Amino acid sequence: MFYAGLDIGSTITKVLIKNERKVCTTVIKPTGAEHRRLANEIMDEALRKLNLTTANISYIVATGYGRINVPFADKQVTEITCHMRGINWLFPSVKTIIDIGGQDSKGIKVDNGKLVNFVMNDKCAAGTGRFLEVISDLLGVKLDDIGEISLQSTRPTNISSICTVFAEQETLLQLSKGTSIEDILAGIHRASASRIHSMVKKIKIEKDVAITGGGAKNIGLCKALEERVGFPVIVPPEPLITGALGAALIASEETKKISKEELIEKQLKRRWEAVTFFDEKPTKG
Amino acid sequence: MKTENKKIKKKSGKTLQTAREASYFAKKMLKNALQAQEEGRPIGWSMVTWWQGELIARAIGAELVFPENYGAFCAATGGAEKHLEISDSEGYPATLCGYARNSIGYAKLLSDNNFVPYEGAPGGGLAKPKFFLASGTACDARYKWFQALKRYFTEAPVWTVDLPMPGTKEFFYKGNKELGLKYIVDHLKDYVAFLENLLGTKLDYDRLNEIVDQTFKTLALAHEVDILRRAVPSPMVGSDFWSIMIPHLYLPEDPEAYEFYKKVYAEVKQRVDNKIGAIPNEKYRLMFAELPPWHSLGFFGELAEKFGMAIVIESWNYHAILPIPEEEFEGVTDPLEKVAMLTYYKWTEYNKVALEYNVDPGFFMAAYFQFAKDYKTDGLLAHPLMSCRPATYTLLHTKNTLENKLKIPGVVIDGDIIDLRVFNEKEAFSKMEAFVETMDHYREERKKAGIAW
Repeated sequence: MFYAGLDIGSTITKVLIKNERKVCTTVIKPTGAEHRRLANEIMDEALRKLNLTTANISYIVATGYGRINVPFADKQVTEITCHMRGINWLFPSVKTIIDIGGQDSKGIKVDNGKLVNFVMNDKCAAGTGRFLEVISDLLGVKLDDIGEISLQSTRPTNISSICTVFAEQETLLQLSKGTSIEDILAGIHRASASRIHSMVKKIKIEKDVAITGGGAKNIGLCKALEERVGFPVIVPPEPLITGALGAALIASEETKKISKEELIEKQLKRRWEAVTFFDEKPTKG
Repeated sequence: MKTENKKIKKKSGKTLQTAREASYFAKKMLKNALQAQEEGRPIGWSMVTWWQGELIARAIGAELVFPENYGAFCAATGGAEKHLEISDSEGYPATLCGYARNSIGYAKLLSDNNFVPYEGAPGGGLAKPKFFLASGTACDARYKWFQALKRYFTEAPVWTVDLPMPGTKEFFYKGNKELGLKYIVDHLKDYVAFLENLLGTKLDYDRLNEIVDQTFKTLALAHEVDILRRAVPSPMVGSDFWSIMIPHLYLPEDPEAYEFYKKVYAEVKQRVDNKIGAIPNEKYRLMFAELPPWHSLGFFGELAEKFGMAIVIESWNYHAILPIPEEEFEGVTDPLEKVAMLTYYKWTEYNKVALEYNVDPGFFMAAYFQFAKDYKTDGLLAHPLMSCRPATYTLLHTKNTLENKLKIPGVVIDGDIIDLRVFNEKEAFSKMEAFVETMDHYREERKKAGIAW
């Protein structure tokens, strides 16, 4: 049997299909404005890679910011739970998860696979992927490269502001002073790490610590966070898919809770057509 | 292509008929004050002083309106934004108390309109004040709020009533209670002199005695309702309480409030006797800390519907006082002393619990530890108000201490009482969804630790 997890984040959408033993495939694409249309397309792509059809997927769980916009999902589960489950499956020793997404960041506490506590930064771009995106745009550097570049810094500058707009102004000021891009980026990563660290500390940071989400792909940010935390942190091989992985794991569990008949009924009810934000009625995709 | 983005009006989440009727009291206060203005009787703008200042003002013949209550009224009826925008343009920062900003915006409009409430003002508006009755109790920012309002009403003086708020251990120092009460009574005498001088009339102490007696009766009945709420399933929820609290908090001396509470009691008792829950399929019993987002009360209805979450008890400070032992009144005849006792006992009533759990300040933290047991709660929904310093100071500490000492988890939903711009309802809902799993986990933890519920 196959199980699918679909994580529609604010910036990136991820699909993961697994069977009982292993992860079979993943697809990662930018989210864009029309979650529902993309959800349909990205799922199709994942199925094509495995030469499967929709009927082969026993259960689908959607998670993330856009989870309610997936008409073919059998269940929606919050991303906090899905990240926790995904990381717990990959690294059972992890007790604290730091998830750095495009529009928010979270701290999650785990105890024996159970969600014990969590904290979120959801009203401010500081400490999120968006913060780094704004600065990379301003500096004319690719977002994917800013982490590596920051590691070349010899004198990290001090970015004092936690507000994205003010940090942008500080960055411009540093540029006008002739500060190197490496030093500015190191300062930016430190400011971001400081913000995230002080938030996650609210739920008490315990070893082991894992970082997930797009922010975990930024080595400069991971190093800055490690410095703050005071010990090495674990970064999954593909930190973007831990939410989708958790969703697929939940899908597998849900399958076992219901009878074959119920499962078939659920599958028949799936609305597989693409839909848009602008019309609640399904249209042929 | 359909482009219409129609906002669906959500239900208020009230489950009691009496809760639906309670707004009558908020409207009554506003109406009475407007009537008093027409008749040339004095009007005071009052803070909640936990009955310390209000009862005396009413005994001397003043009509009172409450900018705090008006703030909630405006937010719930969609009328607050206009006032907030004016407050912003007057130069007051958006980080100030939402109630203060709402009243400042309204005050500006009132003074610009020759002290006639503007057309369409929520509830008809607040009538022009003759004086301000302020209080430093609970919140330091309140000292400055009414002083700022004077900018628009230059002839109205501000009187601030005071209350000693001892720390947990200090409360038990020998003679502390007597000194505290004497301090309050001395201040109340000065306050009476201020009112008599301002209004040119003498306080009728017999009338004050009547008012105080009626207040104790109403508060005792309101407390009986609180006791009924310990039942499982919960016979009423937070959305009910936030309506029915109006009469006991603002109008406890009004015989109509007492009659109203008889009806509330009967309605809640009927549910308890028949094991009827306020919400169907109650699964999680939550305490709510601090004031709710008045603009988004439908949120709680959705929590009930989707997750079976019932707010079974709310912030201690808005509830009626616990009964004061009869013997404490022996030899007390001065109504000012009774008023002092009422407020002082209210603010120190959970100090024994505070001592047991070693928490400080007891008045903002301790009640939740007692509530957790009495109301068999599964979690704390903490709503730190972005604009409310006292609430925010203790809330996270309370949450963490409850987790450590009673294995009651908490979730933090940031927001504001008035300003809906800082309340992210979608994210709040998402957090609550995740919190279900946390509460399930802690249920198991309590079982392991031998904690009774």
